[in-house]
Amino acid sequence: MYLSALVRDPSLPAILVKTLGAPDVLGDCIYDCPALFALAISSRFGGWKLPADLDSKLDTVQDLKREIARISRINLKVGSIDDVVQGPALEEHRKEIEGKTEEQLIQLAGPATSSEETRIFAADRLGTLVSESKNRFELYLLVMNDFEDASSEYRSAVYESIYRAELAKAQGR
Amino acid sequence: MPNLKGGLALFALSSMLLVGAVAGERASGRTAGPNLKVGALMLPAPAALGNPQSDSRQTGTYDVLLRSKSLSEQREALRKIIDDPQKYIPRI
Repeated sequence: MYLSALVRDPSLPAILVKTLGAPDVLGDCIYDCPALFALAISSRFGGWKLPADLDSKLDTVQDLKREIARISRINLKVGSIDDVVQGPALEEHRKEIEGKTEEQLIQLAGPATSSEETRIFAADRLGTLVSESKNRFELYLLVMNDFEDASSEYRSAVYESIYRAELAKAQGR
Repeated sequence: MPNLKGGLALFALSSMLLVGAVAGERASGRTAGPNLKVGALMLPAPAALGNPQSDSRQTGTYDVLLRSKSLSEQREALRKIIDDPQKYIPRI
């Protein structure tokens, strides 16, 4: 599904959108999920239009519409990690994250880092930092190497950084 | 045609040796590595015999991206797919 977001062949969203009522997709998409991510990317950056005949009673369809609307409001202003996460766990990891470049954070968020908490905080920071498209493929590689956490926090944070990289690309940055 | 026949014969012979080698290795508890040699004979891949294998190469690249533990291998596979995406649409 992540490849369909990157490749953006017009045939792919039409196939993906048919899965939105499937029980496994409904279950997987309680939190951020690959199907909605790929469709949101296709809609916002790939010229795909949401079909009018989707079943609006499905949670996945409602979530997709919300996500498309939300990412249309994303801007490339660099924020702080404190904008998206707070608490004692962040304080434990702040020194690892602070002052790191995008490339260093991608490394830290990647599968070579053994601490899942560190990976999550590095991804959180990327979601407030990315403002160019130079590392777009690397961000996709991160999400292709994601891991299960309680509420898909890691996945959500990497999605955010990819949305920003895609927006930067659309703006020629 | 003689070259093709010779190649096919060599491949058939190699395949028989490979089956025997794998069976022998299973019996001995060892596993075959990626560069399996049987004695001094390196088994020729079908592509080396002139058979087009573009489908299996596509599958290989796609599978590397999905399953490799090496980020650099995944990166290379992703680049190949992005460079020629139409080849991979059916798998995607």
